[in-house]
Amino acid sequence: MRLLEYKSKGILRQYGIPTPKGEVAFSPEEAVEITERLGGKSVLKVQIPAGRRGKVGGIKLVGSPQEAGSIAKHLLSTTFYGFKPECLLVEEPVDVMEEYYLGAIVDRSSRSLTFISSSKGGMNVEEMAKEYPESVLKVSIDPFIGMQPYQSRMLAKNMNESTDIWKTLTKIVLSLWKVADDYDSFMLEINPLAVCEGGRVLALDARIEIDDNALFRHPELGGGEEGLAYVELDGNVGTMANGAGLAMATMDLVYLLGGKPANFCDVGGGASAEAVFKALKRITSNSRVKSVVINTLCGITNGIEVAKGIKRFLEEGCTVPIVVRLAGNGAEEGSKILEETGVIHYSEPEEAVKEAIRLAGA
Amino acid sequence: MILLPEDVQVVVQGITGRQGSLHTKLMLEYGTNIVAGVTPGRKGQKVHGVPVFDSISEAKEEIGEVNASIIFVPAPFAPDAVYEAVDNGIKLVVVVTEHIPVKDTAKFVRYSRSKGVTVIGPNTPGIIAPMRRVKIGIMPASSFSPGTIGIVSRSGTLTYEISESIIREGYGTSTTLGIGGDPITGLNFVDVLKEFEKDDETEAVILVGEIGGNAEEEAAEYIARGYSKPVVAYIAGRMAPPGRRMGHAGAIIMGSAGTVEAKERALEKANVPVAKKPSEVVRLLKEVLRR
Repeated sequence: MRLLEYKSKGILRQYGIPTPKGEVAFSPEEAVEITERLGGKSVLKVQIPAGRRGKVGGIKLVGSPQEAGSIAKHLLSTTFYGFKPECLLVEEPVDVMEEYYLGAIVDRSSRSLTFISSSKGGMNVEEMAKEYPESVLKVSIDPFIGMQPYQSRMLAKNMNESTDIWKTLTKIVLSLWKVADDYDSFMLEINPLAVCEGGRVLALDARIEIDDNALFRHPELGGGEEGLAYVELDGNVGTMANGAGLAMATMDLVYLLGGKPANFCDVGGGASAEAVFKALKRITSNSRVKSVVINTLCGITNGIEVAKGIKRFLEEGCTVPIVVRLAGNGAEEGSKILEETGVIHYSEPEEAVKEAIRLAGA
Repeated sequence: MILLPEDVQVVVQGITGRQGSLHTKLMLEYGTNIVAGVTPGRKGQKVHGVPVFDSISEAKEEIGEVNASIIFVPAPFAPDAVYEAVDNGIKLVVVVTEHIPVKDTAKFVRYSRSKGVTVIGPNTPGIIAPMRRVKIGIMPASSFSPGTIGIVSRSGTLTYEISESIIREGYGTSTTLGIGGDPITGLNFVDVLKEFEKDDETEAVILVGEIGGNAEEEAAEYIARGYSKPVVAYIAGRMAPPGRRMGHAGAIIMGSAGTVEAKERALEKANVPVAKKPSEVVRLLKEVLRR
């Protein structure tokens, strides 16, 4: 679960990491009031679970409370990367002298959380690693002993060597480790971490992602999403499969055979008729979907359950054509059920995908 | 056959649960030697004829040594089950459990490796060696036949699909192993490639990867340094948008890292042909075996 910037910054402040002064506005009126309190000027930042907001006009500097009001109105009614902002973060403008990068991510090779710092901040981490590889320092953290002070000193010194700033940065690095550990986060970023006029060191942007599987330890953060693994894309052929790998392969097949997938959907192993039914509802709630291909190779999953789920869905009066590939455990009995419904079904995935593409008219 | 002891004696941790009980039955039917089950508080019960104990040490006292474990314990309690297995001297632990927090996995994987224990998973379908009729996992038996091809994969169903497609063309598998769909796993592709290299029963390897992380790129680097057996690959997730998790916790593109394209490039540079779709794997396999 990716926390919005203002929630991430709230956590950072609790751990002693300074951020610019600011408040959250849910309406243009609130943006006006907050800008007044900040002295008449502010930065408005849309709160969406995605980065690179500046590139699409999601971050605006305003020179007066009135301007804050009109721009806030516009921002709150605009969609950025498919997300409508639920609120704006209204912050004091700051004069940046230098920008650094500080972040952490799970590293498969060392099988641990790895902290990354760089003296070049403000761009995304891959760009930075490509353009300034010599500026990047990676430090893997032992999950049992946690970050040691010497590691935080190394990471901090890699950002800025001058003694007073180095000391401040060291504290920030150690605090960020504590955040990662306490919140079960395996993706954190302060980018940029900036030295501002007057020598203040501030986290100008922040991203904290919480491990969905650890949310049971953090009830205060609210629940995650429902169990269904579903990601919407911009095509018109809906897809569903049992198993994440097969679901990705199915989505890819639609593209490789000349169509455009509308979504990724993994109904999971051992899915019940109910789960299949609900997944179909979700897929077809996307109005762009013109056909759906269901690709199931049943092992733990029972083909009869898959067929029953589809049957129930069709009985509720679905108008989107469905093509099914059913193979493996229970496929024979499942196919009989499907025949009663008249739905097209195949034993080979590519045939099913081709038929779904044809039906979508792509 | 890789990683499995010659004389497998399996304990099932979490044997009385729905999944544990079902797969104990299926593993027994396949031929796996399951000697004990563990569920705290259920001592004295039997699951499909397998005696249940409160702990692994009690099981060992009653029935003697066990040398492999498979874990079906729910995520919040699964790390404890791993520690119990490791501390009882078991050298092969298969963690089927899904949704274990990464922080917990980082710890039990590090602990296990420091004790010389092989962890397969978490979030894995397990390991199957059809020639020996050994399955420590949840894969459907009907998808696998004996043969000389090794399969190593990050997913489940997709692996069954590919295994079935090579069976239809007369091939079979020596060992198939799922490393698991999580960001941290006990084994990576390179670990398993090393095992296949040593294995006389394996002639060629199919690597089934997906978006996210750099395990495929590391495998490519390793192969490029000189690998004695032909390898072919398939990578799922070409259409995945950046920043979104595709079902598996580890299947996520970060910025421009972890894409199918990057993995394909790395593998092709290492002379590993990459299939565009699962059905192409068998054609590529034929080609590399003819070389």
